[in-house]
Amino acid sequence: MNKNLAIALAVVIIIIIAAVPILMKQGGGEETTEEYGTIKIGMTISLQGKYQTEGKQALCGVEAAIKWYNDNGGIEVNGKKYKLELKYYDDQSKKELVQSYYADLVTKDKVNFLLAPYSSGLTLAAAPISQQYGIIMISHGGASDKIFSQGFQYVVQVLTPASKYFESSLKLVKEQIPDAKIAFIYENSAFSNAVMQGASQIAQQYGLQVVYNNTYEKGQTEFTSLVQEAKQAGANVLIGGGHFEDGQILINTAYNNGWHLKFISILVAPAQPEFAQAVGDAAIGVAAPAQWHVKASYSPDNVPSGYVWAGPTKEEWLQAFHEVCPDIETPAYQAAEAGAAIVFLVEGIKSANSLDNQAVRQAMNNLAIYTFFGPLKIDPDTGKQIAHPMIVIQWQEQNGQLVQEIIYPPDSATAQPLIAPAVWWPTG
Amino acid sequence: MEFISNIIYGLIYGAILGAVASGLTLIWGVMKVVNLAHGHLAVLGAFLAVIFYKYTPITIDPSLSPIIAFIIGALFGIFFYYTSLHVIVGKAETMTLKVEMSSLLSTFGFGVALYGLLYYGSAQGWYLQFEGLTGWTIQVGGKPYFEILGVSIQYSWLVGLFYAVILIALVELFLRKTVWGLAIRAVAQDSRAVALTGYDPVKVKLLTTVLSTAMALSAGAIFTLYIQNGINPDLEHFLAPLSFVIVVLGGLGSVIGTFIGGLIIGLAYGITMALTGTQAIALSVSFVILVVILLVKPQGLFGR
Amino acid sequence: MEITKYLKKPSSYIMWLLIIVFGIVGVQYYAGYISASTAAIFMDLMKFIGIALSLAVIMSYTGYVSFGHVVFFGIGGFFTAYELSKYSQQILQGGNPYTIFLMGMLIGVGLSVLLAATVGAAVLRLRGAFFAIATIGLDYVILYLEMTYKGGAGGGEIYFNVSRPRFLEETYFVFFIAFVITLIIAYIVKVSKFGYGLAAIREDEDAAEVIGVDTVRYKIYAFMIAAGLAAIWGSVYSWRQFNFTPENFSLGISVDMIVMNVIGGLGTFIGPIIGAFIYYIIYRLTNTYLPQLAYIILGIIVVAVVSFLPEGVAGLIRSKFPNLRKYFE
Repeated sequence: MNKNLAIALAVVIIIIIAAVPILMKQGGGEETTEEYGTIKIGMTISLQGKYQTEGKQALCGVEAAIKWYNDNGGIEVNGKKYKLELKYYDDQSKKELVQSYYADLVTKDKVNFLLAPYSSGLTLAAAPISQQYGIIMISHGGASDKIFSQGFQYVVQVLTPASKYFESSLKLVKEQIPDAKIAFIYENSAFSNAVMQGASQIAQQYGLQVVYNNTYEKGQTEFTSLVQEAKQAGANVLIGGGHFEDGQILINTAYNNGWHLKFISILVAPAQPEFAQAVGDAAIGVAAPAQWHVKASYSPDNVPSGYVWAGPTKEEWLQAFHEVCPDIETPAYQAAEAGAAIVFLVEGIKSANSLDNQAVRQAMNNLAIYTFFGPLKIDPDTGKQIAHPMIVIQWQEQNGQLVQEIIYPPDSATAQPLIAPAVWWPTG
Repeated sequence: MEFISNIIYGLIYGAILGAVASGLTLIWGVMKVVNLAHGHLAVLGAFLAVIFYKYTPITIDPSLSPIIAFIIGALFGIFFYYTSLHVIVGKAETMTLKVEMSSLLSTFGFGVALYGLLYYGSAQGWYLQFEGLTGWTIQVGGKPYFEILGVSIQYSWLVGLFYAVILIALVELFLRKTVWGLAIRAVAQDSRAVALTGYDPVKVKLLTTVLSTAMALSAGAIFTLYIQNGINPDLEHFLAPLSFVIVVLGGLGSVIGTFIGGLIIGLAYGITMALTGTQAIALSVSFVILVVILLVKPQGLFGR
Repeated sequence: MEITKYLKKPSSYIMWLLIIVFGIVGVQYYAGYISASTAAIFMDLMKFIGIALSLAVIMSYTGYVSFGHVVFFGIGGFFTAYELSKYSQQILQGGNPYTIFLMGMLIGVGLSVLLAATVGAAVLRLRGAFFAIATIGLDYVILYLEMTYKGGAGGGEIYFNVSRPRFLEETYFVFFIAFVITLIIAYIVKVSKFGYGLAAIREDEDAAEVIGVDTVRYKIYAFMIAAGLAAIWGSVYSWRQFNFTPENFSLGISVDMIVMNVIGGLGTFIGPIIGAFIYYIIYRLTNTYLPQLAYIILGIIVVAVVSFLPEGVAGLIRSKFPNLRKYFE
């Protein structure tokens, strides 16, 4: 190959690369439906990667809520009827894909509103797009408080923020364990840190005694030193945790080292149905804060004053859920919070009677609704959720089987909390 | 009080880690193969303990799993040698820097594939990390632990410690008292001399790989006895770097040195944990030790 | 000027071609002819080529496998995120984030180069695997120290918000500038006298010493350049993601760098670039169609390349097509 040929080849390649996108660009055709208008809602969701299970649940929850609205006559805005349409991409749990897909949703797919991806990290990666184009984005899986202190004007949250995770658990401790000495043992990650910062403030507010406070690192397996130190400090209540594996090892270590605990509440791991299969008898008495549980009984009959019922009832939503996702047996809280995001958005649109993002965002500030997911209300300045409470679930033994029961708040509890002088090894 | 418990726990932890690292010192010290798949092999062993306990028709008690894992590891070692080492080191008379680097990269590739396989296997469940020896404990008098000076110790750890010591002792005996062991040690000192004695160097290399792999898998099962829960492919990210630290500290090729290196690392962890109370700092100490040892005494404490 | 002479050699043509193509794509993106997701592919490619070349300076040119090279990537990203979150109020009130970004990047790059010059100088006395292991140790020390950082979001994570009306488009050009800088520096290092000295070290360090190469100094300079380039990429990556997490110190990123160099072929400038393209294609295809098997396929490819193609794809091209050699330096 000689030099001129090489240069000529290069020039041709460059021209092709320059020309292709320009030639391929076409005007998007506008489609009109006669009877109904369409409200397009865009999101990315993780159907692959580390959030794939949560992502699948969330997608089903959203689709179920949309199906319920569309089957019940759509929604009326300014005299015209609309149906909801969901446009989503699979972000594979990867931050770098989130940003470009959200840009595409807004610029190419021309969606009216956005739902956030699953998890705080991905929500944060998508937030700048919502801000850049002025489009509402409802966070259903991003619990971190830090998202709402970055000055994003259009991000709205429907789930309980991280700092309130242990509020219900600590209330229970205060009411039922007068001599509580609390140990905080948790993972050193952004999520757990946010949760525990909130927990220490709440504990202080309630006048609870915290005798031990320490962290462990991600992926570590040595928990005995921490457990022993907390035990020697005289702690009888364990609060903390982080994710899945560490939650298992922490509980297993506490159990096998003969720690006499009256109450245990840790993040994430015990909320999963598989927890008991993994740790066996050590699961007994282990509690966890949860956004929602399928046994929760929020219904139009028990709406508190100041709130109005909105959206499907739990039964209606569950029915729609099983129709859109027949392969998932029980919806998890990830599905419920994502479904509630649609309810909150629709109520905002109805109340503003407009599809304008600014008007809807304004109207959301005055919403106080009660849904199958619980009460919802946001802080007008930051968009942070302020009404939704956490429930506390606990593993209990019934007829020789380990089951999850709701133990707090009392009005939706399905069982009495198990608070023993020593949950494990009562004889030792 | 907290000081004592931290030191005891550090030593137990260190002994287990020493066992995990011991296979590496053999393959690296003798064959000059920087086996980056070592951590993945140990995780495979850790999974085997769970699999034989929960997913096979015949339930095998985890306290026997280190033996089973050793046997399977020996077979797996043959596969490992012929897929990723034979082409590179089989014919090499001396290990030049280039061959050493190639073996580093190919074992690394093997490790990535193995990681993918473990991930694939465990991702078939609902949550891939949810693996453990459900309900398995060793109880005496209705309790799985006993207390000495207010420090509680699990009975199941004693089983792990027992195997760790046995593994180290048997391998050391094999290396010292058998002809093949002598051949392996001879390779460590001078590979050309082995050819003179009439042993096939390829067979010695194969044997070393097999032994090292079997030790890795067996030690992985021992590690499962220690943590019992939370077995997942990502454990490698933590086992492999610590193994390298321990091997460098103990000296390449010295099995006993590795075990003592493990105890030192565990002790350093326990003391730092007691002094600072911060796990991140306790963990970083191991790597500070690594860099310092490499610079000051690269042959390690018990290396030649 | 000596440098302009280097930049006219036939072996630089491919580099110029890359710069022109990626530049045109950027202009088209800014003008709205290319979708954000297509542009993201080009941005990912730039990042892959960039980090592969940053490691190439020490691994491929000099023969020292820096297994913990990601430590510099992490340091660059950390200080960028740190500065941007520290001045977040000014940015929200309309301050220019680029000056803060540059400041963070300079601190990150400066500290990386300094670390390479001090600790690096010490560990460069080690050869082969010992050097590789020592750099892993270095990465872990810095990682664990970083995780004790209590500011930001906790757990060593930092979040920030850069309010720019056309953030994505501008970020393409941020990447592009880093890309051009990396290509030119990596290329000049390779073809200059300095580069020949490094090649001599790679072939036989003792012999290089004998023929008068100042091996100690050459190695340290190469390590400093490699560290600086990696820090630049850590910095722009953080900028694009709006956050920093300890995962930016994960050895997985080192692994990416090493695999790209191995696939492409060691000892050449073009090798890491070819490796990055091939790796990226494999990465996208496996992640899209066989996400469960991605690691298995990747591992098998690495073993196969090391066993049967020790010179990599670039080496294969160079030996099969001797005519093309002058373009494939």
